[in-house]
Amino acid sequence: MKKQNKKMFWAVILIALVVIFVVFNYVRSEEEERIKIGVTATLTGFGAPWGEDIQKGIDLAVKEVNDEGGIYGKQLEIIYEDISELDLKMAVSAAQKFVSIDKVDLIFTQWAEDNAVVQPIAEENNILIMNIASGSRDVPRGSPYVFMIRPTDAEVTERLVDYIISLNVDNPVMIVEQTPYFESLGALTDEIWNQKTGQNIRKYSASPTERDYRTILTKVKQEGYDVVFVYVLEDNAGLVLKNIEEFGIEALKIGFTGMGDPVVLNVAKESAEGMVYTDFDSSEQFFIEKFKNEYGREPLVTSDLAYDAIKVLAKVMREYGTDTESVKKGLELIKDFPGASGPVTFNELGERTGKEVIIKVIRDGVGVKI
Amino acid sequence: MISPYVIHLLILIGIYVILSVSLNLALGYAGLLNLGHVALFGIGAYTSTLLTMNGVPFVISFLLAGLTASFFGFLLILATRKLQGDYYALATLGFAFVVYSLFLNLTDLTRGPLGIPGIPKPNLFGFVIGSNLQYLLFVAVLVLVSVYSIRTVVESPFGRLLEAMRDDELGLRVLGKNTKMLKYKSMMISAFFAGISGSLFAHYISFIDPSTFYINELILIITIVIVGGIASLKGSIVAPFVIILIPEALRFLSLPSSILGPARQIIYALVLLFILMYKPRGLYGKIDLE
Repeated sequence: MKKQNKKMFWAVILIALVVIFVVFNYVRSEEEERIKIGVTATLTGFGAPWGEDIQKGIDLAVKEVNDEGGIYGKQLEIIYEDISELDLKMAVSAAQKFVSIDKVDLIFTQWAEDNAVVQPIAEENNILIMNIASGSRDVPRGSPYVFMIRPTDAEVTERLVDYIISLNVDNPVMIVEQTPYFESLGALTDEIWNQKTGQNIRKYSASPTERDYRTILTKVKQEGYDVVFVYVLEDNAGLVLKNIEEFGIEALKIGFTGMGDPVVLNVAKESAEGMVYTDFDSSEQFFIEKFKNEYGREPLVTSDLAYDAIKVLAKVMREYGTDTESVKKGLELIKDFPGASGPVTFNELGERTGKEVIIKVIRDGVGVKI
Repeated sequence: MISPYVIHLLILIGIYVILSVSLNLALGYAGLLNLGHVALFGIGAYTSTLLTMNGVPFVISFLLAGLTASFFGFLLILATRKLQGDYYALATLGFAFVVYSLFLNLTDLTRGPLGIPGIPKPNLFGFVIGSNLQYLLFVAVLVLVSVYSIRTVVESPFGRLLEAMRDDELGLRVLGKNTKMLKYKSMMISAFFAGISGSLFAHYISFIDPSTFYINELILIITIVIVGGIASLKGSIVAPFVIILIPEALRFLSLPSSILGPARQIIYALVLLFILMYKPRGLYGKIDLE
């Protein structure tokens, strides 16, 4: 009897799995037509803060668009798929589900990595991609299917390098976390520095799990560098800045976009004083207030971009149509759309242009525009 | 017409079947708790990728992926031949960390954290396996070959010796059997199939980076083998279906977007716990993991 119960138990599990697949694979009746957007985002794991912020920005915009009556009477529907810890298998599974089960009209990707594996699937199915949070050059340029709503790292980094050179400081070093984003940013910074000065930047690599930077900083101090680029995730950046102060390294500290976050400053405290970093103009006030009313806190760096992605698409779809070619045309033609993250325009490579990059310095614990 | 989504899942399942039966050969039959199996998977993936992208025909790259992984399996046993039990397991875990570090730091070869995008689809003597359906058929053939090969090994006198070594290595040595040679051979066979599954993975996903072959993947592979059952090839064939399909099924649960990610992970973990509560030795396991 016990054996029979166990067999029954497993038979039930198996049947349940089969039913789920049959039902959702072959029976997809819709009560009403919708415009569907699939989103791959890191909703869990190390990237969760950014993924969740993207989600909140999107949800806020979708609610507004749908309350306005949608697009040609059709409601927007967002289908989120978690790509925890940037698991690329999950990103591929999500993309396959988007195109063959959900039959989405568009896909949003978060970073360059998920974009890399989602893009071939999207292109094969004639579906546009909007990349939300990556300005990395590892997102392929010039593909007619990819648009990037975050300004490019190249534009941001060039501005930063120009500023540093204008200070007449030399002899730089980089501490670079061995993750795709920082590795790419480090290589880009080195290239731009080399183009402008003819020199390269010495690089020290830090493991993603590093918690003690004193070995690296011992070498930095010995070599007597004048500029230290800190390209390390915000969680650890505060620690690096503290260690720099503990070692008495008097070099100019340079951070990337995001180094002005409370996550960094709460750990670094006085050690962050004098740190120079890039930032974008803050989100438009109307968006900050909407976000706070809805979610009870200030937005982080990605939510305004995600919000604008939806708003720009809604405008384009209303004016030009909802099919891929019409949306593509509309995005190419849109100019200075008044977004939460500033005016939105795309160039011929699908890159966002026109968003002002500013240089800030930490004074009395606050980032001040230079 | 089968949905491309289902085809995709079956491809992934096929790759993990090869990976799990190969690990079960070492772990379940030879008693080698090899926590470095994910590194062998990665070695196969990188070998195949780098060779193919430098003009070596896919068939040769594919076979070399297996042979290279097999060679590293040999080195692993060479380095750990005097260790047993938990110490052996820790040493193999160290091997996994070392290999990950190499993938991360040999940037001229592997592009480090940036990974290698644009890995081409397999080209078999001029025929490009372009569609997912073709890839599924290709994987299916390799699954059959791999499972048949490993099954032949475990059902042979050699396989019986492996099981005897797993259960009582000292006793087997007293009988005059060369257990070191058994370890080398079983690990090299296991590693070969891990390597070819890595090649299949790389050419399917078309992008690899070091993080793909690290702790999270190791946990997935070990979970598949444990849920399937130690020393059970049948379990290692069925378990990938369960482990891969459960999170996919969870995609269809309508959960609020604010809790979607964490909720799915919690449900997945609870389902696995539930399975193991009713089947502590896994679905078809014969022995306990000790």
